Amino acid sequence: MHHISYSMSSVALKKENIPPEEDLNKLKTGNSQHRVALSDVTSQVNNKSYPTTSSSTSLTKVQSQNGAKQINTNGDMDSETQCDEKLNLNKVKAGKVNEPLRLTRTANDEMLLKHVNKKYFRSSPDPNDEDSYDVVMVPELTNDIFPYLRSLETRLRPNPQYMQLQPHLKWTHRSTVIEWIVEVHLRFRLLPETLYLTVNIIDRFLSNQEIALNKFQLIAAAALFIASKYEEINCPTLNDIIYMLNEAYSKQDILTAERLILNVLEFELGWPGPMSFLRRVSKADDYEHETRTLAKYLLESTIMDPRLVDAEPSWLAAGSYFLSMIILGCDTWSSAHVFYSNYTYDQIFPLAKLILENCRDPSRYHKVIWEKYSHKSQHYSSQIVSNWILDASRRVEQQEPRCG
Amino acid sequence: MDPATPPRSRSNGSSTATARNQNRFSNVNSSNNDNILQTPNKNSSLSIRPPVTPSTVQKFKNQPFLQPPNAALNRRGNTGLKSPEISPFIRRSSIGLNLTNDNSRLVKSANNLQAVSKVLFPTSASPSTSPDNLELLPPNTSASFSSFTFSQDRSTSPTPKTKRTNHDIFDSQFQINYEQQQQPLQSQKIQKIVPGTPSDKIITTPQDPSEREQMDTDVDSELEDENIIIKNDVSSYNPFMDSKVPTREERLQRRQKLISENPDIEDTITYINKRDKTKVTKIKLDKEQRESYKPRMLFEDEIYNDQDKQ
Repeated sequence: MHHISYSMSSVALKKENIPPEEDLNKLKTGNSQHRVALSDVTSQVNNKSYPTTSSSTSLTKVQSQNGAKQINTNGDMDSETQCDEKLNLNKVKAGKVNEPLRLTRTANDEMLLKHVNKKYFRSSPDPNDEDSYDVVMVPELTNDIFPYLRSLETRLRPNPQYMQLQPHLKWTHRSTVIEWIVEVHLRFRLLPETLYLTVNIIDRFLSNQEIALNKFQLIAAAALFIASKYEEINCPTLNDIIYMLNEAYSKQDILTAERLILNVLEFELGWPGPMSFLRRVSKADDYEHETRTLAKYLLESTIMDPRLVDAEPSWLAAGSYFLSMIILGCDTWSSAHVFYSNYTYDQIFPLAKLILENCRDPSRYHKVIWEKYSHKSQHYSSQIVSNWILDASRRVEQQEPRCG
Repeated sequence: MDPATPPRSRSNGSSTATARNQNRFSNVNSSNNDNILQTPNKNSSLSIRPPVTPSTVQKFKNQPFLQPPNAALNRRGNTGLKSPEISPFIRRSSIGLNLTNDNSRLVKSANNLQAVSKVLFPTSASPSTSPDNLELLPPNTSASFSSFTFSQDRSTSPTPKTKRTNHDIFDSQFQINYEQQQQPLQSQKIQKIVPGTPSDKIITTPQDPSEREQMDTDVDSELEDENIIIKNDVSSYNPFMDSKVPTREERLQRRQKLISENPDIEDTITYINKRDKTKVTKIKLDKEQRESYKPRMLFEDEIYNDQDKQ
């Protein structure tokens, strides 16, 4: 059994584990000949098929938003599917189409959720749980807090098709703006929650209000200003934000935009970001630090994808955490994970596959985020993911001649 | 017991009308002046007593503070207890009125209406003033409601007395007014038209700026009443469709000004504690951080190219 496990502490900090430059370049340019889906990568790494494989030539059907896509165990889609996928990808990049990835919930999912709820639900704090003695965790209110947050995430989500209502904007413009936001956010050393809230404010505002292209950056800056005041204790000053705009807008412009945004959003800023849900699901692994740290990179990469504009943050957190687990060598989505995330394996698998697909070509999808997480301060998270993908791709390539 | 002071708006516009119709009142009530039911009016010479307001309470200083209810009623000639006023609020959109075009006529017509009131629990001596017999005083001029144009034909059949909508009230008033213009006044009117709550005077401006400007002009010229509140609907007007972009020279000037005011802004980030705004923290950036994320204007070329084309 070929099993690879990456430990953040032991692996990430060693220089030899950072992919060589040529591998990184190869990674950045992408390898169109060998498309590796999550099911193939994970099955190759763990010598196991997802979800079912009867033989080496059988097809694994992965339910996705566009319908069932057929992926063979060698990691190659059949030519027709590959062609469709490429076409769709090009359209997304051109800003022409944004087919959102939908969360599905089948009867089986409901049954499983009911089962794990029965198993794990407690009406009062567990005396054997350390959280019960931590006043900050407020365990006695958990059963009320998370259902409420889930109701908020549904209510305060943007329109996934809002770009169709914006005659002057394209999805590529959004990518540019969000990359800039990530840079400014990094420079100001703000909390991750602020970044997610900023993106949500921008998307929700644009779902309701038409703007010209020359105001897009202004709206983004004002959204960052609002989000930082909402989430942070120490907020950057207005002058600092104006400086980052390269003087394209005045103080008054920012303040006017701030008022407009708050009016359009009706002052509803209580959107729950994915970080709370990420911490919650990591409780299933006793708050294991490495998995959660790696998941933060995968989670942040989702803000760039227009197909995930209206995805529930709890779903994104679960999908990122699941992929992080797989990369670090733990592939069991246990009933505890299902309970704490509220999502089954079948629900998060398509999402994890999409995130991994984006990570295969980070320079195209989320270059700034990849660079941000490639530093020591971020535990080389993005490099670990890239390294793992390269290893998995090599193994798939090596197996191809045998299978072919 | 003296009636409470009516709202100030009650006398607006109705005082002159009341004076003009004094003869009608005097004809009807000549037999018994004690039974006069009339809106308190400072200028009315026919009023038996001057209007009583809280400020004039000193007038009764030496009189017994408490009186038997009957005595108090007799002083006013068995007029009974007055009910809260019915405010026939007119929803303008529902009757097909264009606010911009018809607002002045509406206001003028409302000013021409007579003040009316309704009496509950009438005594035997008082005229029949059951809710079924609600009537309105006729307007001064014949051009009140009849001058309105209706967007749709409305039935003049009486409406049920329960759940009377604004349309119904308006229609019934219109019909009653019409009938009263045809006949002499036979009974005293007890309903009163009041301007309504201030919310019915809030005028929201349209989204289109040109239309808004036009409307502002109309409103300014026609509605000089200080009670009318014009509320700008901020959320409906989007200033971010403006294609105006500062020139590069303007931006350079702004940059110089910003740096002169904040000399360390290029390599220092200043934070303000939102719980205690006096707490200011500064973080110095190293060279690498400064170089990594420089300020930039997004879509600069695209925006300036579009600007040049225009």
